[in-house]
Amino acid sequence: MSGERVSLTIDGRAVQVPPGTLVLDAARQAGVEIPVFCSHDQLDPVAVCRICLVEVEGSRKLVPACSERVREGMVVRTDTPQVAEARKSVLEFLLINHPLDCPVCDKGGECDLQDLTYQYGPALSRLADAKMRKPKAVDLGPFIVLDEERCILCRRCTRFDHQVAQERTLVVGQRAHEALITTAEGVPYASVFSGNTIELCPVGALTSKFYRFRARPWDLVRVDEICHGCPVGCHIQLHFRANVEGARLERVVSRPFEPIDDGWLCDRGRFNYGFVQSPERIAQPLVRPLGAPRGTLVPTSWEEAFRRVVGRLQEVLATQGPQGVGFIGGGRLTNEEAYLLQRLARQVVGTENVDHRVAGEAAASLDVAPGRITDLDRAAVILVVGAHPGQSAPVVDLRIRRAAARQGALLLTLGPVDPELRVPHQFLPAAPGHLADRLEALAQSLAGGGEGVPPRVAQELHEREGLLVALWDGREAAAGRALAAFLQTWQAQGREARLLVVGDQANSRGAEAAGLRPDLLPGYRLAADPEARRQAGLAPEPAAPGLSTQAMLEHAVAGRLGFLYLVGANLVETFPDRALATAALESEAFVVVQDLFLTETARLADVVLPAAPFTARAGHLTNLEGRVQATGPRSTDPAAGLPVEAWTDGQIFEHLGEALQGRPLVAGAGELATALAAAGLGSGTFAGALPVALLHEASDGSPTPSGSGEGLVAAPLPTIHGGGGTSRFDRAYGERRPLAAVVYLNPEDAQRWGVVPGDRVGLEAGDGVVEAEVQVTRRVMAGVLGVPRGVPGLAWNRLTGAGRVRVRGRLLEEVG
Amino acid sequence: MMEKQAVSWVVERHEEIEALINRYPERRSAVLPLLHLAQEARGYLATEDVEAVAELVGMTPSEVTGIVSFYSLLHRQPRGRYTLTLCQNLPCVLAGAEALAQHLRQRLGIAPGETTPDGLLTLEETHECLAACDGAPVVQVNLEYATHMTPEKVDRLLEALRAASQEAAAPDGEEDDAGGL
Amino acid sequence: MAFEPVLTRGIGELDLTDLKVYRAQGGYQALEKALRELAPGDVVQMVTDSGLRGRGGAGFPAGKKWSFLPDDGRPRYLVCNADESEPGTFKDRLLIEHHPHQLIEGIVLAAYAVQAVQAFIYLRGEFLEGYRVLQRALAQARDAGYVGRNILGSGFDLEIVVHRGAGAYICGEETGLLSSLQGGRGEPRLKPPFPAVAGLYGMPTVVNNVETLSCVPHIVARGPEWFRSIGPETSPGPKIFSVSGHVVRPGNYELPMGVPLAELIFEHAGGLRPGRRVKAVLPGGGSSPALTADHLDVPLDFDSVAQAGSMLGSGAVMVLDDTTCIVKAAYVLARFFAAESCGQCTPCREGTSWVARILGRIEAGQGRPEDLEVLKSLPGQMAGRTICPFSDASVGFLSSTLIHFEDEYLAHIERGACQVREVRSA
Ligand SMILES: Cc1cc2nc3c(=O)[nH]c(=O)nc-3n(C[C@H](O)[C@H](O)[C@H](O)COP(=O)(O)O)c2cc1C
Ligand code: SF4
Ligand code: FES
Repeated sequence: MSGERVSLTIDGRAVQVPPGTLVLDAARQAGVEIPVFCSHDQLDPVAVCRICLVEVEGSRKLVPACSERVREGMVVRTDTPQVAEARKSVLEFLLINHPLDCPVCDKGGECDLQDLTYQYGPALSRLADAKMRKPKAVDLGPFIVLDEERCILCRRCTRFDHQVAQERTLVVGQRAHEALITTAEGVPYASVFSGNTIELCPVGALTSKFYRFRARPWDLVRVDEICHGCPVGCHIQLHFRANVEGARLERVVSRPFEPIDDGWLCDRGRFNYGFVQSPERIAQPLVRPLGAPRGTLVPTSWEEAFRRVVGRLQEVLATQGPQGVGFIGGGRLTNEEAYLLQRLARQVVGTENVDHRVAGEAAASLDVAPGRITDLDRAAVILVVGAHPGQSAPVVDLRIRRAAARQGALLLTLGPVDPELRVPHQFLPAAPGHLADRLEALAQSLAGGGEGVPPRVAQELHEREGLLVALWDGREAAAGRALAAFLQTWQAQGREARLLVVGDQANSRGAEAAGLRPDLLPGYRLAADPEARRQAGLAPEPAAPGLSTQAMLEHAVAGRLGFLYLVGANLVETFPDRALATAALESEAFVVVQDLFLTETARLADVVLPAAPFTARAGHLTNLEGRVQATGPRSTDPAAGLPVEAWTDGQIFEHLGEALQGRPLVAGAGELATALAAAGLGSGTFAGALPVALLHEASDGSPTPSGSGEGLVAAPLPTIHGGGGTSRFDRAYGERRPLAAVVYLNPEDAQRWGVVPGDRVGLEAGDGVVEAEVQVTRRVMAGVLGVPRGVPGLAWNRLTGAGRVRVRGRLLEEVG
Repeated sequence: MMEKQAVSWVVERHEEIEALINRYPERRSAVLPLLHLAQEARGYLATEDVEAVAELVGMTPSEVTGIVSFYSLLHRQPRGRYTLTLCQNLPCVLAGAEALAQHLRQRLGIAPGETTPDGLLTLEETHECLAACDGAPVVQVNLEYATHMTPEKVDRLLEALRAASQEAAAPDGEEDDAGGL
Repeated sequence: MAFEPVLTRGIGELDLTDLKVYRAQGGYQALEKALRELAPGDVVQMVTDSGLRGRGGAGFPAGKKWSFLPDDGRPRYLVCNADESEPGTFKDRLLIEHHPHQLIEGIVLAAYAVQAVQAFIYLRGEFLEGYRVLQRALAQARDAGYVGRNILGSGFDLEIVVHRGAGAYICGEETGLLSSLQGGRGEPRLKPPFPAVAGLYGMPTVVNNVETLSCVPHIVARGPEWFRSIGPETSPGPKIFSVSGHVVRPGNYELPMGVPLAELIFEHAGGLRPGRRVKAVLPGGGSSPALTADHLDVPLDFDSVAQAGSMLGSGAVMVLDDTTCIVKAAYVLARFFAAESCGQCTPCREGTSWVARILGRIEAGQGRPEDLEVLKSLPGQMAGRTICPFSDASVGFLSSTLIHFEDEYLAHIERGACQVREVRSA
C-alpha cells in the first residue's frame, strides 16, 4: 500500500500521490494553490463554500477540489477562465451580505475572505438591495463573540465541535439565507476548546473577547513559545503589541505541531495569559519585619531581601546543618532552572532536601512502556487510571476523544471518579487507595481470571488486538506498580503497550529528570549511588538522606528544619494536607517564597521574591511524553508586561549561588547545556523516566484514609481553570470562567446523608467544617466525595487531609 | 438527582415512544417523530421538549435545536389552537392566493407568523406548494385541506372555527387535528 | 385504442384504501406471483425490461438503479420518496390517499427485488391525511401477511415504516431525504457516493418515487412488454400529469407518456378560459424552464421535453395564460426557492435570496437597468456548482423567461409597472 501511487496532472504539472488523496492536496504538492474556505486539514470535507471548484477533464461540471479524490490519469485545470469566473462568482455571493466593516474587524489583515477577494474577487459590488441583517455581537460563550453577519457558513467551527471536540454544542440553525451558527437555548458554547473556533474562522465572525479591538495584525510582534499551562506542551505563538508601558501580550495563537497538538489549544492555554501583565503581580521583594506576626509583609530592596535570605540560611546551616534546609517546587521551572535549583541545594547548601512534588504525586514518569502522545491515534484500548485528561492534559484528551469516537478504541477509566469524557467509555470504580487492587484484577483477567472485572470488559480486553495506551495521574505509588505489572502482562501476550504519565505541572517531568527529588540526581541517577555522586561533583555519601515534600513539612513543624525555600509552590492550596502545609509555614522555620503573586502561601513567608513570568525566560520544557522543547524569547524579542522588578527564577538561583559560594553556580551557558544533555535533557531529545523501584509507598500526601466506618473519602479532582497558580490571579480569565465551590456525591450517598443537588452542606474535616454546594452524579463512586482542586474558596485539601469526611447536612440560610 | 423533572409526554406516552424509537435501526432517526409527538402534546416545542427529545435519541439539545429550526412545521413558540396556512406558491397565486392572504391578514388583524390575541388562530403563509393545486387557492387548517378558497369561504371557515372552539370549551384537551371542518 | 388508466383506475369510484376492495381488483396478486414464482433478480429484470423511468423528477431507469446495489452482504434499504413538494405536483398525494395498497404492494415487490431488510416511506409532513391512510392500510396489509415477517410464507421479511417529514422542500431531494430520515437537518450530501452504494446509515439504498413504485405491481402482473407498449420507446408507461394554473379543469390526468402538451391541456384539462391564450407552460413543476405557445405539440416524455429545452420532471404541468405577469410568476417561484434552499452551498444560499430580492424589486416597480444584467448572469453562477440540483432548479424558470420574455422584464424596469393586466384570473 505504501508504495502505491496515483499519477495525475494539474495545470500541466505531473504529480504522483497516494490513492485517496484529495485533488486539493495533490495540487498543493504540485505547487498549485487552490483557494478554500470550508476545507481544513483536520476536518472532514463538506464542500459547501464552493470556492475550490476546478475543471476535471471528462466532467461536465466544475468539481470541488476539497472533496474530490484523485484518479489515475486525471487531468485537472485550475487556470482556466471558467475556474477564475467561478471563484469570482463565489466571492461575489459571499460578499453580497457581508458587512464592509473590515477597518474595524479584528480579522482585518489576516482574513481569508479579504485576501481571496483581493486575489480572485470581483472589483465592484453589483448589489443594489439592502444587505441581510443578522444578529451582531452574539455572546456565544465565555471567550467568544459571534457576528452572524460576517459569518460565511463554512461550518469549520461546527465541524470542529462535532468531529474534533465531539461535543456537538455548536450547530447550524435555520436554513437558506437565514442559516446561522447557534447553540441550544440557554446553552453557552462553553467548551474548553472554544478558542480554536476563532482561529478556524476564515473571517471575523468568531472573535476573542480579550483580543477584540486590541490590535491590528501588522502591529504585532510574534514570539514562538511552548504553552506553560500543563504538561502537554502545545506549541503556541505569543503576540505582543508595544505601547508606552512596554510590550503587552495581546493574544496567544496556535503554532500547529502535529505530534502534540494538531494545531489545537485548550482555552486555558489560549486565554489564561493576562496574568503576565497583571497589576497584582508582586512588584518588588517583600519581607516580614522582624518581630511582626506572619502575614505582615513590607516592600524592600533586592539587596535587603537577599541579605535576609543568605543571612538566615547561613544561621540555619550553622545550627541545624544542611538537613535543616529544604527546597520545594520547580514543576513550573524550565529544565535549566530546575537543574540550577537542585544544584543550589545539593552543591552549595549540601542538602538532599529537594522535591518538585507539591500536590501529592508520586511520579511524573515511569520507565515501563514509555509512550508518545501520537500513540493514542492507533490505540485499540485506552486505559485512564486516576487521571482526568480533560482537565489536566486537555489537548491530549482531544486525541482520546478521536480515538474512541472515530477509531473505535475501547476506552476504560479507573479510579474513584469517572473523568468527564465526551465519548462512550466504561468506568471501573476504584476507591482511593485501592486503584492497585482493581488493576491487579484487570491484569488477572488478561490471564483468564480476575474477580470483579465486568465480563464484557474482560472479554473485550481479551479480544482486542493491538496497542494499549494507559494514562496515569502519577499519584498512588501502589497503583503505579500495579499498572506497570498490568502493562507487562499485556506485553507478554504479544501485544503492544504504552504509558503516559500526566504530571501535575507543566514541567513536572523536566523537574524530575533534572533531579528535583530527594532520591534522584539529574538524569535519574540514584542520589545514594556514590559513583553518580562523584560524577556530579558531590560527596560520595549524602550528609543525610533527602526529605520529600511531606517529610520537609513535618520536619519544619517539629522544629528540625529551620529554612524552607519554596519556588512557584503554593503549598497551602496544592498540598493534599492543608493542615500540615499551614503548620509548617506557621512554624519557626524561615520561609522564602519565590513567585509571581502573593499566593496563600506567599502571604505567610518571611521573604517573598518576585519572579518574572514565563515570557521573560528562555530554556527548555519537558512535556508529559518526555519531549524536550525549547521555550522562551531570544534576546531580540520584547519583554512583556508592566515595569515590575522581577528576575527570572534562574537568575535568582544564580545570584543566591554566587552570594553563598562566591562563584557562579555553573561556569556558563555551555556548562549548563552540557549538564542537561548529560542528564538526558538535550534539546529535541526525549527524557528518561523514573524506575518503578523508586515508586515509594505512602509517598507524599496520597490520601490514605485512616479509620473506617461512617464518612466519605475525599478524592481530589483537577480542574482546568483552577489550580494553585497563575489562573487564580488572572482576573479577566477568572471572571469568564467562574469556579463554583461544588463537591460531588454519588446519588446513594446523597440519599444516605439526606442532601439534594444544590444544597449547601458542611463537610466535617478533622479541623472544622468546610462549606460547599453539593452536586450529585454517578460519575463519583459510592463512598467517595469528589473535591475539585484549586477552586478559590474551597479548601479541598482540608478534606483530603482529614481521613473520612462526614456530611453535616444542609446548612441553613444564616450560614451563607 | 441529575435527571430533570421528566416532561409529561415522556412519562404518559412512554410505550409509544419506545415503539417509535424501535422502528429504526438507529435512535437518531426517531428525532422527527418524537418532535411531532412532543409538539402534538404541547402545541409547540418548549425548551424542555427539545431537551427531552435530545435525551431520548442521544443527541445534544443543540443538535435538536438545529434540526427543529430547519423544518417549517416545527415551532418553538406557542401557537393558536388552529393554524391556518395559506399556500403562496405559483398555482395558488395564479388563482388569487395573494388577495386571499391580504383578506385574512385584515380580518384577523395579524401578520403571518402571528397568533390572534385570543389564542385561537395562528396565520401562516407558506411559499411551499401544498400539493393540492387542482383546488387552488388552498388553505390548510391544522394540516387539513380546504380548497378553492375565496374570501367568503374563508370568513365562513373562521366562524366555524370560532364556534367549534367555543363548543369545545371543555377542559384543556389534546389539540384537535380535525380543525372542526 | 383508448388508453385505460392503470395507476388511477378505480379512484373516485371505489374505496381502494380498503384491502378487500383492492384485492377484489386483483391487488396483491403480483406480489403473490413474485414471491411464489420469481427470484428477486427476475423482478429486477422485469422492471429493467419494462423501461420504467423514475417519476420523481430525474427520470432515471428504475431497474438500472436497482441493479447498482453492490452485492457485499451489507443490509440494504428501500426508501419511498413520498415528500411530494415540487410546486404544481399533487399526484403522489392522490396515490397515497386513494390507492395506498398499490403503493405498499409496489414497495414490497421492490424490496423483494433488491432484498432490502427494511423499507421507509418518507412522507411529506403536511400530508396528515395520507399518514392516517397509510397507517391504516399498512395495518391491514400486515394482518393479511403482505407485510411483516415471512410474507405469504415465502421467508421474505419486510417492515415498512412511515416517516413523516416536517416541512422542508429539500427533503424531496434524495440525499436530503436520507439526511432527514437519519435524524438530521435535511441537507443534501455530496455525491459520490451515491445512495445505491452508501445511502441510509451508509448502507446500499434505493430511493424511488411513489408513482414509480406504484407502477411495479402492474409490471409484474402484466409483464414488461405490456408496459413498453404504452407511450414512446424511451420513456414508456402510464404517467399521471398534475395540471394546474390557467386551465378550466385543473387536476390529475393519467395518460400514456408522450401525450402531446396540447392534447393534455385542451382535451383533458378543458383548455383555457374563453379568449385566453397559452403564454407559458412549466411542464415539470416549478423547477422546470418554461415552454411557450410554440411548444404545444411537444410530446410529454422525458426526452422530448428535454429536447424542447425544459424537463418533464414530476409531470406537473403549470399553465400560464396571457394574463400572467411573467416577472411576478418568476418572483413567486424565486421567493419559494429562497426560502427552501438548505443553505449549505454559497451559490444557492446567497444566489436564491439575491434573485428573489431583485425580482421582488422589479416586480414592485423599483427595477434598475443594471438588474437585468445581474439577473442574466446569476443562473450561470448558480447552476452546476452546488452539491445538489436545487440551485439549478431554482433558476430554471428564470433563465427561460429571460430568453422568451425579456421584453416583459425590460418593460417593468423601464416603466416601473406591469404591462400585463393582472396575474390572477379566478
Ligand atoms: C430539489 C429537488 C427536489 C425533489 N423533490 C422530489 C419530490 O418531492 N419527490 C420525489 O419523488 N422526488 C423528488 N426529487 C427527486 C429525487 O431526488 C429522486 O431523484 C427521486 O426520489 C428518485 O425516485 P425515482 O427514480 O423513482 O424518480 C427531487 C429532486 C430535487 C433535486
Ligand atoms: S444546492 Fe442548495 S439545496 Fe442543494 S445542497 Fe446546496 S444549498 Fe442545499
Ligand atoms: S401552488 Fe398551492 S397547492 Fe400548489
